[in-house]
Amino acid sequence: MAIARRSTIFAETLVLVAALFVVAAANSEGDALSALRRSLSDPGGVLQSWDPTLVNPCTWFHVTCDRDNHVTRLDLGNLNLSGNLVPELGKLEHLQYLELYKNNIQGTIPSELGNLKNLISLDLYKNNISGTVPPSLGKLKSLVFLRLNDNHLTGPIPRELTRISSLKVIDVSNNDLCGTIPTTGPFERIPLTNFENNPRLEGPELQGLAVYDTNC
Amino acid sequence: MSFLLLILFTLIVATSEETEAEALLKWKSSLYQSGSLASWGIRNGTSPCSWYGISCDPAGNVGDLSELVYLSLFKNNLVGPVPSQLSRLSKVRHFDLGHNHFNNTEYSNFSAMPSVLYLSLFLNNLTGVFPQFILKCTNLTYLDLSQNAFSGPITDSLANLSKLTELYLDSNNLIGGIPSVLGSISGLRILILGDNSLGGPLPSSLSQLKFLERLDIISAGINSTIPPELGACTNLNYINLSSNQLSGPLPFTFVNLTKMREFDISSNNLSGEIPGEFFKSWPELIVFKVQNNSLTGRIPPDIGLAKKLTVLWHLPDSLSQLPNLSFFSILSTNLTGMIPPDFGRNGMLQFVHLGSNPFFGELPQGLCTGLALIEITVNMNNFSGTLPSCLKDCSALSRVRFEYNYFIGNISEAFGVHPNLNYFDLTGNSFTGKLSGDWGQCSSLELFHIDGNNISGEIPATFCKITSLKDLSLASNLLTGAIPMELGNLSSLFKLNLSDNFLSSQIPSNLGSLTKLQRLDLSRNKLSGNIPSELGNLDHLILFDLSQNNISGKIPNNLGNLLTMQILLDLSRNSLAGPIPSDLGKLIQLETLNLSHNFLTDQIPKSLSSMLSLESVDFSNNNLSGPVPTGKAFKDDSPQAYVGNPDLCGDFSRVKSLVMQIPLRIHIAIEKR
Repeated sequence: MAIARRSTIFAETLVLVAALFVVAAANSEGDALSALRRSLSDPGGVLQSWDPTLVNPCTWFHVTCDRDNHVTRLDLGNLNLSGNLVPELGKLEHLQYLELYKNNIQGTIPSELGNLKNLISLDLYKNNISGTVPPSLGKLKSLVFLRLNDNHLTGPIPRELTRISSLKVIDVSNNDLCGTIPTTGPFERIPLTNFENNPRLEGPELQGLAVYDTNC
Repeated sequence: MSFLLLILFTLIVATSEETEAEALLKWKSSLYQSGSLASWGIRNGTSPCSWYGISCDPAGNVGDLSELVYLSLFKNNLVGPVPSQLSRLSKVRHFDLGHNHFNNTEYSNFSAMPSVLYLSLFLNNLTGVFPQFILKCTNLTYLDLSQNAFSGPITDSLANLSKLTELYLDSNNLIGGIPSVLGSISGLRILILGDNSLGGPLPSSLSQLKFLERLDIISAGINSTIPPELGACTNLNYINLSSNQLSGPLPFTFVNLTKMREFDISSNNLSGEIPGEFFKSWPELIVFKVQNNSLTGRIPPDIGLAKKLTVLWHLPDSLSQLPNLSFFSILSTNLTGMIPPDFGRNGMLQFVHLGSNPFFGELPQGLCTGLALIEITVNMNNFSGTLPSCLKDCSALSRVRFEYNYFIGNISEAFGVHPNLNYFDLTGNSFTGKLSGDWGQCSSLELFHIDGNNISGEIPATFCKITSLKDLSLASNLLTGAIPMELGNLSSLFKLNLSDNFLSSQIPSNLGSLTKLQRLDLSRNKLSGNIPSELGNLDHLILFDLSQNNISGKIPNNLGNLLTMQILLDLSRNSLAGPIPSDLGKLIQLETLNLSHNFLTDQIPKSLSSMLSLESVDFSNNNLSGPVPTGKAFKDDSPQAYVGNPDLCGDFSRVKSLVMQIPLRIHIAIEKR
């Protein structure tokens, strides 16, 4: 795909310049972040440095990379962002920290986030996110911190999350979740306050009894 | 005009039984009407000639499209299927439906269009396999199906279109390789197949295309060597085979492609050397891109013969002979060598990108001749020596990356006033000298990093005029003096790192005005005085490091307001006294807490048990007393986290000693038996 790169500067200064300035945009992580940028509204201009013509996103502000130029952290908390998350975020295979808390983000949590096999922290709290918690988050085998509180999430707490033994902090308070609270695996240690203010949440599931209908 | 076309459209759709009036009324019923078509109705006579907006020919017909020769519906908002009746336009020669939203089309109902020469369905949402009816349009010279979602293979029967001169199939979901029969379409001049999942080899039969001018197969999964037979296509002036899995060498036969203007085989697995003879034989060459391959060896000196070259993605020796070179980029290769000493002499260089190669030697003094440099990024090479002296007069400089080389010299002599400078990184070199007050005039500067050099002197207060500054890092230098309080004016700052210097005096309280700050690192300096409580206003902070200073006084309570604190809170190795504020327990996102090596007293607050995100703590070497809080982070740590606190007790130490005794008892019992 040919993208004119700063063609206005060239047009003025060089007559013999070839019309075609093709930039090999071969960085899939940069493309994924560009998709996020297009989907977000950024009145503060905090994503202005996100230049897709650069060879990788490692010099973009609020992006941290490792030595191999793979994105490991996105620190976008409390930056007045709105708009939606994008499924392309799932392509950031080396991402460890996804920090999008305290913004005005809407829409749903893409199930593709379940592909982030190195994710340690998923912080989407204090936004306007709706829809359900994707069961695919159960694939996040490195996850330690899952903070989805203070959104408009509905549906049940996926049982798949009970299989993530590394999970230390789960907070889904202040949403509209339904069904019961898991009690196995990491959920054994989570205080009940981290589930409060979900009017349709029925309380801890009772083990050993026959399956019963929930309101979900 | 489009209204008229739509009417004609309707009439094509009329079946042989329907009259023109019936067809028009059928169309009227599908429209949202404002009343302007009130005159359209059978009651007004069967002829539509008196209806509003309709004119008839002398025979009383509204239209007869059987003679239509040219139809273009390009770039409208037409949706839905392409009506198969359109293919009944037996005399049409130019048929362009490009740039609409057509979809869901059933091609089996389409007739062959015997007269069509130009057929374009470019940029729609069309799906399905290659439409069979097109293969019967044997007079076609121009066929464009690009930017749709056609699937399946490129059918071999495409060779039936023996008169094709231009074929565009790019940006679809086509699979199944490039059919070698394409080589039999002898008049083909333009062949564009990229952005599909074709796979398979590049067929050598393409060498039969004696008139081929443009070959574009970008990103199609092509997996083979480049057939040397392609050197027979001597009319080729544009080759783009980038982003495939081509392997093997660049064919020497390409020296015969004397009309070559744009050559791009970047992002493949090509190996071997670049034949210098290419540049001798390609006098028209303008673009040459071979990056992201495994090409080795020296860059041929003959590249100096390619006088028209303006875009070059590879490093040659006689670079300086290229009179028009302005944009020059080689990134992440294993190529080594030095940049020729007179490079840049053409005075035209604007963009020089040499990141991540093992290049060595000095940057040529003439690099910035002409003072046109806008971007120079040479990070992560082995460059050494001082910077070209013309650099300080390059007033157009916008992006400068010199990090991780072996550059030396005085930073204030190397740079001057750069009003367009946006990004400036000298990390990891051996620059000396002091920071000049002139930096304050860089009114566009957003990032300034000089970490890991030997810069001395003080931080000039004029620095603090750069209100655009977002990321300031002066770490690991020899800076002395106080942190200027005017730094608090840098209201856009989200990262401030002054660590590992010799900065002294107090932390200015108006650093608390930097409300966008995410990371604050003042560690490893000689700072003294108290921690200003104003720092409790930094409500975006995720990292806060004041370790290894001479800071005294108490830890302010309102550090507990820094609720987003996540990565690190480190106040260790200072002279802090007094208790640990219980409000620190509010930092429920914090992962690492280090308060060690201070003079903190009293108990560790119980409230710290709420810090559920804590992974690692260190309270060692203080004067703490009382029990250790409950909570996983406090139990699981090694005793090292608590040593040096003589009055500290707690469940933790008792549990540990119990565990060590039990195995001993079992051992004795077994022996007695």
